[in-house]
Amino acid sequence: MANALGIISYNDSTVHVQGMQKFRPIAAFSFVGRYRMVDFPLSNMTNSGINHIQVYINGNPRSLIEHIGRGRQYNINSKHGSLSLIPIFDAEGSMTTPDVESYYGNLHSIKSAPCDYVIIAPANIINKANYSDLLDQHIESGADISVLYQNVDDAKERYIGCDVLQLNRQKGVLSIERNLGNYKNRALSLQTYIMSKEIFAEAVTRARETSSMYWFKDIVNDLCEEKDIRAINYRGKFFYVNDLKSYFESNLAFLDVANMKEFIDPDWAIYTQSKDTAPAIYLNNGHANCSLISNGCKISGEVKNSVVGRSCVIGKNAVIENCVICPEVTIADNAHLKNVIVDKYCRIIHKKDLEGTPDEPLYIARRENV
Amino acid sequence: MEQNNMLAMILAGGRGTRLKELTKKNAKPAVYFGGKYRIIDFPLSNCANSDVNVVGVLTQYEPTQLNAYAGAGQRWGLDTRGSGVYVLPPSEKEGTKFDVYQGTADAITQNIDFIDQFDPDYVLVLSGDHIYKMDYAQMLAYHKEHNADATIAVLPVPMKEASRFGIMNTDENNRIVEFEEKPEHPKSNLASMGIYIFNWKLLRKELMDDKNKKDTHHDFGKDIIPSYLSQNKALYAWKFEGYWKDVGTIDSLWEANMDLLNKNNELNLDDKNWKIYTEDVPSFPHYVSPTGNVEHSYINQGAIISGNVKDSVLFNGVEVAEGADVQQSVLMPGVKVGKGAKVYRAIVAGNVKIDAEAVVGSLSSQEIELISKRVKKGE
Repeated sequence: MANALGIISYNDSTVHVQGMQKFRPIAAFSFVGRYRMVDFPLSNMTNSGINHIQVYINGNPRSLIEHIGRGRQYNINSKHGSLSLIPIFDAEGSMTTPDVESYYGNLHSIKSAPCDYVIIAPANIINKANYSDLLDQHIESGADISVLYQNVDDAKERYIGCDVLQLNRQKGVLSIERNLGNYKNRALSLQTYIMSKEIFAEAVTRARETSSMYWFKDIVNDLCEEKDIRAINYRGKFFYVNDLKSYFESNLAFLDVANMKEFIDPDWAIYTQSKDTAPAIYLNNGHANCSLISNGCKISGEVKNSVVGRSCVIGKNAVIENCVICPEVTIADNAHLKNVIVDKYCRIIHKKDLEGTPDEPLYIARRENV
Repeated sequence: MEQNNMLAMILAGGRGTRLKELTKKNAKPAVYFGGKYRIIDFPLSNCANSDVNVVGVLTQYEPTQLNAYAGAGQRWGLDTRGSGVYVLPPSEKEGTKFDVYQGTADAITQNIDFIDQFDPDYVLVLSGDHIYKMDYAQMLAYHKEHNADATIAVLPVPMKEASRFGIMNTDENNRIVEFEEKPEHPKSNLASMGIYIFNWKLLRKELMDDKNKKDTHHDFGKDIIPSYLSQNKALYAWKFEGYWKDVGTIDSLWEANMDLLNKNNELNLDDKNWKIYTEDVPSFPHYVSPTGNVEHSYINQGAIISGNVKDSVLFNGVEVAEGADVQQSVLMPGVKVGKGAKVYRAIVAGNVKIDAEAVVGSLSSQEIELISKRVKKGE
C-alpha cells in the first residue's frame, strides 16, 4: 500500500481540445474505444496501492460522476479506501478556477486523509506511472517536491503552451515555464507532483496569498529557489492530450502494437466501467484491419486504421479510415470517412463523404446528425 | 424477494459428461459460451432481469470454479438489500449423515431450511444447462392466473424430434394431463424445458413425502411431477417462444456459438432491455493488426488478431498470430494460435496453445473437434 493521497488534477486553459471539451472535461473523454481518459491515472493509482483518491473536475461533471461512481471498478477497497469526486463549485460559474482554489476548499479533507504524502497527476496525460516506486524515489532523494518529466525533441511543433522544466545538472528544477515552441529539445513536465502533505498545504496556502490567479505549477515555480525541487525522469511511453490533433494522434497511437502491448500488462490492468455489452460482431462483408474495436459494435463495412468505441454500428459498404469513433455512433451504409473524429451518439446518415487531414482531423460534435 | 415473492433455485450440479474435457475439472454451468459468458450467466441474468432477487445455486460436481463465480452476486446486480446469490453445495446436517444430492428433487429437499428462511409463496426451479432469455415474471403471472399448483415451461419442438424430450400432453386449456419421458410415439410436441414454478407450501409437503419413500429417484421428472399428476393437482404448461438450446454436447455447444453469427439470431445478446451479465475482465478493445483480417465473427474484447479469422467466436485474451487461419471455430479465453497454424471446425478449450504450423480439424469434416491440450506441429 502506498502512503499517499492521490489527486487527479485538471488543466488550465493552455490545454484545449476544440469541440469535444464543450461537452465534458478532458478526464471524461472517450479514449481507445472503451475507456475514458481518467481510467488511466485512476488505474495507475490503484495499481500502485493508493487507496485514497480525489478527482477534481472542471466542466460539466455529469459524465464523470456517472462513469466513476464509487470507484469499485478501479479496485478501490470498499471499506478502508475512499474515492471522492470534487466538481468545482463557483457561484459565478467560472470555468477557470485555478486548481489551487479547489485544493484549498478541500484542505481539511486532504489533511485528514490517513496518508503522509500527496501525489498529483493530470487526466490529460496517458502513461503507466507506478506511483509507489516514484514515491520511494522521492522519499529516498530527500527532495521537498518531485516533478515527473521526460525529455522531448519535438517541442517546436508539439506541447505548445505546456509546462516545461529548466533543470540543473543534478536534475534540480530551476523553474517551470511555458513551452513557446522556440526550442526543439525540452524537458516536458508530466504535471505529476509528489510531496509531503505539509509541503502541499504550505504551497496551496502560499499560492492563494500570492495571487488569486495562481495555479499549482505557479507556486512550485516560485518555490524553486527556497525548496529542494527535483525532477524524476519518466522512462515509459506517454501520450499527451492538449488539443484536438494530439487527442486524435494519441488514440491512433495505440494501433501501433508496441504501444498497445505496453498497456495490456496483466499485472497492471486499466479498469473501466463495464456496460455488459455483447462481443463485437462482424456481419455481411464487414471486416477490420489495423484497428481497435470495442464490444457491442456491429461491423458490416470496412474499418481500417481506426479506433471504434462501444456499441457503434458501421453500415454496409461504409469505409472508415484513420478515424476515432466514440461510443454509440451509427455510420450508415456507403459512407466514407477519413481522418474524422466522431463524437458520442452521432449518426452519419445522409452526408456520405467526410474527410479531414491527419494534421487537421474533422470533428463531428456530440449527438449531431449528419 | 418483495416484488413477486418468488425464490429461484438453479440446479447446477450436473456433470455434463458429454462435454468431455470441458467438464473434467469444471461443472457444466461454468462452461464458457458466446465470447464472454458462462452458461450459468443466462439463468442468473434472467432472474435479475425478471426481478427474481434471491437465487440459490445448487452445486455438487467440481464446484470450485462455479462456487467462486456464482457467489459474486454483484455481477448480475443481485447484491442489493433483500437480494442475493447463495451457493448451496451439499452439507452435513444434524441427525443425518453427510451425503451428496441424490436427485434434482433431493437437492431442493436438502435446502428446505434455506428456502423457509425467505418464506416465499413460489419457488422457481431452473437448470443451469441452457442458453435462453426468459421473463420468469411472465411465467409467474400465468401461473397465478391459472391458480396452478405448478407450472412447467414448455417449448414446441418439431414432432419428429419429440421423442428425444420429456413431453407434456395437455388439454385444450393447457392443463397437463400426462407426462411422458422420451416417448417412442409422442402425442404432443411440447417439450419440458426443466423450468418449474411451484407453490412452495405444496412442494414442501411433496418433497417431505418423497424423502421418506423407498421407491423413488428423488427426481422432479421421474417422481414429483408424476405424483402431482396422480393426485390430480393443477399442472399447467406455459409455452415459451424464442431461442432455447441445451448445450449438453460438443456439437450443440458449437452450434449454439455459431447461431450467434446469424444476424437474425433470436438470442440477441445485445438487447439493452435484457442484458446478459457476466464477469468483467479488464482488457483493451479487440485488436486487429495490419496483417490481420476478421470476417463474419463474434469477437470479445482482449482478443488480438494478426491472422485470418472467419465464422468464429473468440473469447477474451485469444491471440491469433500472423499467417494463422481460424474458421468455424470457438476459441475460449486465453487460447494462443501460433504462426501459420490452421484451426478448422473446432472448439479450443481455455488457455490451450496451438503451436505454429499445427493443423487442427478440417473444413470438410462433419465432426467438431474438441481441443483441450497443446497441439504441436505435425500432430
